[in-house]
Amino acid sequence: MTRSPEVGDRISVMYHDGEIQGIFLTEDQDFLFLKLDSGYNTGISKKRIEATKVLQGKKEEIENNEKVVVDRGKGISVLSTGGTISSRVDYATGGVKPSRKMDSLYSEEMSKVHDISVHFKVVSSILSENMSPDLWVSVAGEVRNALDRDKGVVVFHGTDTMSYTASAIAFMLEEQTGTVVFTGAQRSPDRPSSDSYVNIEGSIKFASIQSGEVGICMHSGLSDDSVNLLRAVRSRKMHSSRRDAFKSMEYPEIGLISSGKQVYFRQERKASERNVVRNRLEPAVGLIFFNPTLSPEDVDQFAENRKCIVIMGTGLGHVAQRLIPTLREIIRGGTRVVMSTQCISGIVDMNVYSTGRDLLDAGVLHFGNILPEVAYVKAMYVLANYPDDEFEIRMAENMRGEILGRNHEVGNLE
Amino acid sequence: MSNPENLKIGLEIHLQLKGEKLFCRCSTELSEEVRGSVWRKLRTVSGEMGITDRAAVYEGERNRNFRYEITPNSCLVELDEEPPGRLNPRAMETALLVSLGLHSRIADAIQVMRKIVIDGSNTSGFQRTALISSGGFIESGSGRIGISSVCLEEDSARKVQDGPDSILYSLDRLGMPLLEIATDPDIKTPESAAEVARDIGFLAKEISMLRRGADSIRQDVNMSIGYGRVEIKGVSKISQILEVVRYEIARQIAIGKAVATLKSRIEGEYPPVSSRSLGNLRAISKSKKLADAQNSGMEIRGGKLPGLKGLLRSGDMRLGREIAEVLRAFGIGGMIHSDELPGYGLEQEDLQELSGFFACGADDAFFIIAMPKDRSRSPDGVITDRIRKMASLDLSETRGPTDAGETYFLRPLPGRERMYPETDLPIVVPDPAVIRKLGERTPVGMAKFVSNFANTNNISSQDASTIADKDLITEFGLLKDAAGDARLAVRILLQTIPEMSRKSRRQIDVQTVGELLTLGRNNGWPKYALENAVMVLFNTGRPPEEIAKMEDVKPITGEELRKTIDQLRKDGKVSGNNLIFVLRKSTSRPFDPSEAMSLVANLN
Repeated sequence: MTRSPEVGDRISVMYHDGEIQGIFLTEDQDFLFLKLDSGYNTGISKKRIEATKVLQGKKEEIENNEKVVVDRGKGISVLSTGGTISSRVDYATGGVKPSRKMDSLYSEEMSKVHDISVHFKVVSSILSENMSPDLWVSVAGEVRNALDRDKGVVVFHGTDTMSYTASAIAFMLEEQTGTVVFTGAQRSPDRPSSDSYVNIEGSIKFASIQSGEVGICMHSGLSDDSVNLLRAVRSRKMHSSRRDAFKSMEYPEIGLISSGKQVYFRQERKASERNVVRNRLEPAVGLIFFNPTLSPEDVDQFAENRKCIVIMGTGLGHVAQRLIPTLREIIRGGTRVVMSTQCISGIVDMNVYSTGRDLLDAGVLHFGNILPEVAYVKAMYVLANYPDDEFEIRMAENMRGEILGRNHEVGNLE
Repeated sequence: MSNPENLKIGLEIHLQLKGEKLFCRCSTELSEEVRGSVWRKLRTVSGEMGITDRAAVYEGERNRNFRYEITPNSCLVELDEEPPGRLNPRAMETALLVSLGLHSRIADAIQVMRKIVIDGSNTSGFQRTALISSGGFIESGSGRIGISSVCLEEDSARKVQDGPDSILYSLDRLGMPLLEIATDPDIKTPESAAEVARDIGFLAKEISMLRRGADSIRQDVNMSIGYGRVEIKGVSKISQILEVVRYEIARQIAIGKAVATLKSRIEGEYPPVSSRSLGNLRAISKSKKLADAQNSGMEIRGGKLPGLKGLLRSGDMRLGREIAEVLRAFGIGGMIHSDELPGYGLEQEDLQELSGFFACGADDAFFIIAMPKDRSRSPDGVITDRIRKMASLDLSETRGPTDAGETYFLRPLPGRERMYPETDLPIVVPDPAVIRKLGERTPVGMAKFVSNFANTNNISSQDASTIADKDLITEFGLLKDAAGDARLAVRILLQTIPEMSRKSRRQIDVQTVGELLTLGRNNGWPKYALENAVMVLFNTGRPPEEIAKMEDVKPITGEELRKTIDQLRKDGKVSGNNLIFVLRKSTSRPFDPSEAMSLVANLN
């Protein structure tokens, strides 16, 4: 064969003192990559190559596209938005990216849950850092449709912004007939050790229990024997790589499945008779992290064209005194300023120090122990769906379990 | 037994490198401490070509759970909780040096691969491995042996406890840098295989990068006598290479003989084996082994094995063992077959009853197994596949060595399907300038090294060879610098230290011995005093600074020695040839006997 090599061809590469044969994988400016018969990939410097020859055309890719599940009536909907959990390795670039061909990936997990039928739908195929409020709105619509049809919903999502999306869905779902479970993976499913398999199995089990919860289901520890369900509006990704990255902040887990068995599921938020979605979000909301060099100009610029900014302040809810006049101006101009704490755990209380009192005097709002990201998402929801003058009342209202009524017990400092 | 003419052996030598692990900063030093454990599952996935590796499928079907002990030298990387860090530069340098020493062509661009291994020995379900160089050769005593590749890989987790449904591993060994050097199948005898293994292992010793420890050198032996490639994994001692190859030759020849008989009995493809429950068969209750199994909730099954009578076990025919090994790997232990009966409490009449039950003809055999009731996979397919594999005389598979020098079935041979790129790591492009520079430090191989080493240090080639073989090159250098004398260093290293540790039951490291020698040399002590001080060090176990100040270790020489001898003479204690004896009794301080002798001569 004389044609130029294509990916998948078996080729021979000749250079001045030898020859290498293998399957042509990819090339870049400097190197050509072959898969050798031993299975190893190796790069050959293009400068050394004298000739290449195609020995054998590419083999037909073996598609393993068995369709997943028999329809057994009302079951669980699985909506995939993308993320590591629905990623495959892109062998050309070597990166991991979301794939749409994934029903076959999890056929085993889906069929393990015997008496439930699973309806699979790819909603989007993006990494979670690319999620945005308009996508949250479309996910909310998909979740509602799925709940109208099925008992519960599992949403595959990238872990990085999962708690944002899950919180947004929690707020937009005014009423729900079944449990909505977000799940993801910290290790991609191309790896035998991927956590996705156990997470999916557990999520389907949780989703089949009727409740009014929107939660996140991931590993509860480093072992593959237990997953837990965390309330979306109290959860946070607290580790960049561990499979038990998600923690429920100062609030106990909703449910636990250990060794394949449900240990408990606390029925706090009951399911409703119908599904109601308020599918509007105000995108002009921002979240800003106070730091020692943050200037009044930074804050001023950040607040421009925003209806609300949430500040992650220090400690009990402080920023530098130098920012207070600017904040006062911003608030006068009609932008809401909400204070939260970068400590994550614990309440915002602006009455303890004079800085806090000055901030209150400037009109800065605070809502107890709501998590910063959740306050930010909630502000989008409240601004878009309630009259403007109800903002403060609605933000202070504990809508989905996002504000803890009781201060956490001492000893449970995790 | 002589070796078959067509015997081909290839080796994969695994050398553990010392220092830090390959993809994290954890140490390669072990400790006993365990800091908890985690529990994991692994799942079969397909490789980059969309094909699932057969060895991986096999492990997946076994469906076992894995527990991992967390050790002080393991972190989130070993736990598969964090992406790998950058490739250890020392390990890479060693791999390049060894490649140079083997005349192997270093890859222009090195891509770390994931090799799917789901027996649990890697928490990730794959072993990270990179092809550093290909081709090359080593000059061994039995001629030039081709090198096929040099790879740098992560060592696997150490198995602590094995069970049919779960395995306990320690994370201490996982991720240690492992240099894998594969030879071509050029080796013709087990004896030269052992020699080549030693010579290759020396390359890492020569550059002092070999980790010390029980399993720092492990060999995989690939061999064939024409019945396909058998890979015997993890042979830890060089002497064991001889044993397992000899065993495997005998095994394969015996299978060849048995299969010839089988083929004369059954033409064409071996019929599928079909087992049935033996439930309440009277014979079963007579065998304690079977009755116990039944009482513990196991199901007793059995079936006919057409044409296999006398081939399962008689003389060197051992097909029964071949079947039992594979069943055991699937969690079904303890097969009984008709060649073993009467036995296991079953008598001739039971044998007849069972033969009748299975409708066995004159050449037919049968088997009985006890299996867990919840086992979803029928053993019939496993048994049929095994017999057909034997009958095909393609015996290729992965086997393991036993301590007795035998081998047993581990799993099918893995294919290249089990490799795909490690996407978390960038491609490494070795710098040609760096490689040129490394060229100056290229290991030269055992023979050349020993002769250079002996010449440079002016020591015997026998001693040089011992130092090299025992991997004491660094220790020798240290003692030589401390003692200021190569021969004294050899003597202390190869004689004094081993002898004194045995006598005193104290382990004192070479570093400490070196410190003492330096102190002694600064005091101007001669050689005999230095060696004596080392003995005192072992006898007392005191720190070097203390020993250097002790009165007893100071050499007695010159005027002081003369006065002592003179006094002894005056006391009438010295007579004839007893001077040294008397002197030793009168002082515990070291002296030079020849000096004493010449002093006494002068006094006369």
